[in-house]
Amino acid sequence: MSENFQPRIVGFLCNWCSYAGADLAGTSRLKVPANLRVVRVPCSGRINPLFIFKALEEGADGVMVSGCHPGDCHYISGNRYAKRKLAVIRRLLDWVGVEPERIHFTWLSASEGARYAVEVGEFVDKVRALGRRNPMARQGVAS
Amino acid sequence: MNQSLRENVKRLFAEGKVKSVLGYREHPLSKAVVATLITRPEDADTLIFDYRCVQNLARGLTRDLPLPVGIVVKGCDGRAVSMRITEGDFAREQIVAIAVACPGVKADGKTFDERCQRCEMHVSPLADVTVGDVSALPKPEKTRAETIAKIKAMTPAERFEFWQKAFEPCTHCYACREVCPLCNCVVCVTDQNAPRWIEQTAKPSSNLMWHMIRAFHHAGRCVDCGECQRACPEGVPMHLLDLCLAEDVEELFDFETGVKQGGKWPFLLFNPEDPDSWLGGPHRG
Amino acid sequence: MADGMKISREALQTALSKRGAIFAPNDVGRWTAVESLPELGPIRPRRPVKDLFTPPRREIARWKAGAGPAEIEPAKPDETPGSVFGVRPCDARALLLLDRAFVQAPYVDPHYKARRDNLLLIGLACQPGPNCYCGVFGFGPDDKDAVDLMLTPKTDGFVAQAGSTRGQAFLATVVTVAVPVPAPRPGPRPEWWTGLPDPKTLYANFDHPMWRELGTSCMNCGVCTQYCPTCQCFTIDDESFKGEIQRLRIVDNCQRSDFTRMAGGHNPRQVAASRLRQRVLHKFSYIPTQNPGLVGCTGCGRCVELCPLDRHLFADVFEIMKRINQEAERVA
Repeated sequence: MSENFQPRIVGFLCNWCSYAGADLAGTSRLKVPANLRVVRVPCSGRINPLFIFKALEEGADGVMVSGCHPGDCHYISGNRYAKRKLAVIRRLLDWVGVEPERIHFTWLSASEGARYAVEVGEFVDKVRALGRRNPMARQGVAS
Repeated sequence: MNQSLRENVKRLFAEGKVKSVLGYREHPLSKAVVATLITRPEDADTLIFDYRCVQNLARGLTRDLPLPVGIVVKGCDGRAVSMRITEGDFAREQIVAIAVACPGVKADGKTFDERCQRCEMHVSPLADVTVGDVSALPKPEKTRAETIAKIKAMTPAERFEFWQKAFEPCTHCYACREVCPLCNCVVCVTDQNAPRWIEQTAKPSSNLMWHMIRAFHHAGRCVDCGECQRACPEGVPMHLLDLCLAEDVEELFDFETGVKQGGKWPFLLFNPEDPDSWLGGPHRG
Repeated sequence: MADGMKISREALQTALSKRGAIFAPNDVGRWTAVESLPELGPIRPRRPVKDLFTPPRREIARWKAGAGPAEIEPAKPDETPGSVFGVRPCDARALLLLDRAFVQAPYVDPHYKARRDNLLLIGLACQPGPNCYCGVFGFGPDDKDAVDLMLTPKTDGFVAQAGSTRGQAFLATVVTVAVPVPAPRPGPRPEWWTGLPDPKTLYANFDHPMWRELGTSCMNCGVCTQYCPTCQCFTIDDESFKGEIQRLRIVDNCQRSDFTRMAGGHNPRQVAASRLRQRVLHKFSYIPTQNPGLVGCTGCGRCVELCPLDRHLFADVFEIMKRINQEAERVA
């Protein structure tokens, strides 16, 4: 779509691994697109499907969720539950007609600052190619 | 069938196995088949079971009933009761499942319900008493995959358009929620206003949000009784979305709702072997 | 024989269009603005006509969030003239009840009143269906007392009878031919019907165990309330999106479990059966007691048709009264 389109992406990052990884990307002066707005959660297992659906409804062009690698969760198994939930969330969004490229679920550890920068960059590009808007985005107070 | 059902119920009362029984009866005035709760053995003579017994009585199980409660269950209903026990709403000893050999029901009085044509479990897996001939029950004529094939074949844009049209008549009456035996949250997410996740009035966004959350809450818990769709006064086909997720739950977690006693909801468990590819998408798998 | 005025469909359409927008039920039973008068079925549509007067969602004010005090814009009552085509007697009679709630001084709902004042009600006679029982309340499928005009469909138009001075005035502006019309038909009643419950006796049996029995087969889904033409409960809610805020008047439903929940958590109607009792008593006891001559039901039969549990709410009312009377006789 338009070249000036800057996607707005909400990223739910778990506090212990992914958020620290994002922080590392920052302190390492790596280029990370400003399109991602971060919401810090204690664990990827905290993710309520409503967070993702609401973000899309409120107009986010893409949603990302990142947690610790399975086996490394600060709360031992929160991310394992998250994996199951996220699997079905992705399927549900798929059934409803939200393009799968708008959703990015991943595991990023505290040391993967470079990886974070790369993944966010690629994700933003993919979403930019899709254009505005995601079909779930509301147009106004009565829609 | 009616005779055998009534005798069995009278026997359960006589043996002290039940203090009340939830079943179906024909209303003396309107002649419609309605749910009934009987507390005296002589009232068992009002109980019936035939193709008109469409309702899922499991929704009538509330904790203020005289327990132990007997409940007449078809295959789908029995699976719902099983899930209610698994989820801790009732102890196993509080329920006496009166399983009927159900060949299918006809909500329109003429043809078997769509879900009955797909049914693979005509008799409740939870059965303390079995009534009727279980050997002569029909085989499924089609599969769940066939029912949702048309949505699977659509592009994302077509799918979104399909659901927008499907949910447009929704008035947020929540009849679908009330008749569902597995909609049992103490405070429903739609009634919460801090934060207000789902707005009360009908519009494209809130209609979609309600039905998406409803489907998600039922992923792996829905027993395909179809009551939600039958209850809807506007004919919204929300059950179709439940079927879509049921396919996914079965594929991902190899889980069939309510069949195994004590079979825990897949989201309460994990398997260390769960593959990362589930995260899906074009990026990292 | 009374006199009616024969009027062609085209003449009626032209006259109504001159007035303004025409509202009619669409093919799924919802009231919408139409370009031309539709062909309608034999009975009332799924949605009651009250939707045009007490819509499920009505804006009453709006403002924008931001720094400083908000400028609140109250919604203006809609005074645009128009007409409603295809109003059945049951729905029209129900409006008389709603008038009691919303137009009676000293508290007048200006939005409701504006629509009542400006929408001409064009009634349409019915061929009663299996769930209809307007005859119980003393009127029938041709009743014109609550509409401005009552139309009886004919092959080449309608025969119209004025139900009000406003209707009379409208008829005078249209080319018509006077024709004789038969007496109005009596409304249908269930075969088991023997009489309306006595409001005071019903209330005196507030604690009767039969309410509990009836309650076990009711799921309080609220569909009966949602589609009832006389139900009028509403609540106020705010909705917002990106700083734009709407204050709304939305329909409420006494069958919801949290209808009587108060701040602090106390809920006098926590038990499902108590909410069913509330609905029955409101319609058949409280309303008749406070409005002699009126009952909170007009026999449209939507509750019977749409109940997902195949309950017959009206039959329940009858059963309760029968049981109460039987017990009273035994004691006497």
